[in-house]
Amino acid sequence: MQKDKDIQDIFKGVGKISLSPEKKDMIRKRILPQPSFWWNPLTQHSSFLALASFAIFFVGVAMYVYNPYSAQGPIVLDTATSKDSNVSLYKNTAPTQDMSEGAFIPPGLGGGASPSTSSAEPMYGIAARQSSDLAPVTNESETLVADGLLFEVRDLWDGYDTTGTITASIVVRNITNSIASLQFSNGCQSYYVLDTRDSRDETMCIEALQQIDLLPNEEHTWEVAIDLREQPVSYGTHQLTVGIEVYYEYTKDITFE
Amino acid sequence: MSGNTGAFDTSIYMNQIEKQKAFDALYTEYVDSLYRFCYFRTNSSEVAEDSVQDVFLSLWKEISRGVVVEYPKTWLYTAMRNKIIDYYRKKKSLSLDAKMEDQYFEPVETNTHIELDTEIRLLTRYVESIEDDTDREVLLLRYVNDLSMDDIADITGSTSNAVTVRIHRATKKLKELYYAKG
Repeated sequence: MQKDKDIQDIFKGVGKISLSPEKKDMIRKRILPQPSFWWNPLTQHSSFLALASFAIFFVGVAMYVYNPYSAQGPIVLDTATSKDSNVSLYKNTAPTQDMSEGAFIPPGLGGGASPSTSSAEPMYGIAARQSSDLAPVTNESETLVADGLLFEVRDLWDGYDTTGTITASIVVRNITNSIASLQFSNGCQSYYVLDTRDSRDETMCIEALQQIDLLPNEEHTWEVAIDLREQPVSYGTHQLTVGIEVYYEYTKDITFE
Repeated sequence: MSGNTGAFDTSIYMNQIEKQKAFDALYTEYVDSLYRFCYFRTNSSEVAEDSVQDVFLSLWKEISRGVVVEYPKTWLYTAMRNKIIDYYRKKKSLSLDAKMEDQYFEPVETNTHIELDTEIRLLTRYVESIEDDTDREVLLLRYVNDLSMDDIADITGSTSNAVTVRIHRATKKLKELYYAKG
């Protein structure tokens, strides 16, 4: 049936009835989950908070790089991680000089190993997170939150059973000489993504602010277990990501035999 | 289900970002047309705004649960239609006092939030003058929302022939009102 031209003329101005872009944006924000304060302070709060965040970040970086209390030796930046990830890892290397005097020469000045391109395990890192549409945060704001915390993923290897269980441990250690805190907005602190299977989509998380305090050199471990009995995977290589909400994420290709 | 935009995959295999992208695409495409439809049916910008929010919230809940929304256009318009029916049902159940109060305030609410020109205001009044509620509804879906006969039939749970008859009747009535009074 063709449209009646007279009636089309009568209705020609109805396009004026629409929501303003501000209202559309407001409604969308009310519906979709928003990143919490800790995710993106720079875009959600005042410029005062932004300045404070930068200041704390720079102090934190300085303390981290020139940390004479670390028994692990100088820390160098390792940019090689998984192929699909933009995660930056800080990897501990063997001490190259006597640290007992508290002296430390940055690697670039001859005091340590050159940045490695190896991604061999064990994996260490701080404040790494893949960028996403949900929370387009900068590296600066990420390292601010987790400064002084050393992350390690343990127990991941190759050659899993396609119907077995994958377990991994994510360990965080406070390498500063003061108490460090990790804060979470809900009960789901650790997660995994195996190809498209995301544990966060399958788990109900209780909304509550939770905090983990770590004394100097203290560790906290999250155990991640993926049971494949119900949903077996195919043979071959699959991509696995394990992470701690907001603070850390690590991606690795694992093989199933 | 001819005339729809086709199946829209919002399955559990999508991750959170993909689900949000799927939602955003639908939100951008339909937010204005749904608002317009509700505005003409309720004559209230506030009710239309709240209803749009409720409908898209329901959609997001479906998407985030991993439900496959096969025909999003039909789904959205049907949800909005149900919302409008609920609105009138609640309005009817108000006490006489509340109803009088509501009627007293309604014209103020209608005109404060949208700066409408006289032509649109007159059109709103003419559309309201069409007595049969379903005739009015199909007319709006056709000329305000630019939907096909098949889409309208799907949304109203009717047949294309019945929709054609209703639109013919409604347009005739509207033309009479428009050219006689306008």
